[in-house]
Amino acid sequence: MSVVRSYLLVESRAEQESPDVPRFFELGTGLRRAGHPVTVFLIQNAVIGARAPAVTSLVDAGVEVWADESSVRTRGLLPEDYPEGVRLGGMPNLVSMLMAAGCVPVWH
Amino acid sequence: MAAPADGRSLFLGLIGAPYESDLFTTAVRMAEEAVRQGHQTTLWTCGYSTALTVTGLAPTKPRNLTEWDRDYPSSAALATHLIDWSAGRLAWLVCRYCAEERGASAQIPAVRIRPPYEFVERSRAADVSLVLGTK
Repeated sequence: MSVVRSYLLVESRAEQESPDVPRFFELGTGLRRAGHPVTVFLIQNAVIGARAPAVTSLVDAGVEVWADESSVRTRGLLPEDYPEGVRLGGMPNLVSMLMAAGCVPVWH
Repeated sequence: MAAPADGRSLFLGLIGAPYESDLFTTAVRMAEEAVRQGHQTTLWTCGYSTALTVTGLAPTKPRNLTEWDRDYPSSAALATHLIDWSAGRLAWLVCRYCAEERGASAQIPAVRIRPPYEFVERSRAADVSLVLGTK
């Protein structure tokens, strides 16, 4: 039985830290449009940009977007400030996704 | 106590300066959760992350002047605690080349120093590999 490949893109940087962040999100959108299941998990400084247009584009394209609640809280952000379509989760969620059969993880 | 292993294995590479961001915190959170979910976990430190477990680190960090009575564990103490708690399900490996290059060869007993070529071997052998950080 073949295993469906799904992509887990873990973004750890804010857009202000690295110009590669929007390109990383474009990769996620492109993979999704090519028919692959894609999840983007925002962690560390990446949670700051959850309202950025690039993240909205991900959600609109059908990419599952998560933000690490611990990173959110340690930066003084409020969970209720997060836009619809971005789920809050923690390490149990991330590790479960990471260890799922067929997962292709990429860290940035 | 950690859950029993279910046969899957995870290789985490930790590369970069440990205090530049909360990368170290993320790595130990991830390793702890992987062990908790029953996965055999390897954490491989490269670059300046090899300094997280040097013997020169005291069990606690220097005192916090705003919270004088509170102790904060050092990264070496945290690593030792995590490895002990995992009951053999977490291997903390230190790249020998990176450690030697940075004068960090004196490592705490809980970790093992390994030759650099094992990075590729171990990452390929694991069911899932993820490298956190970049050089």
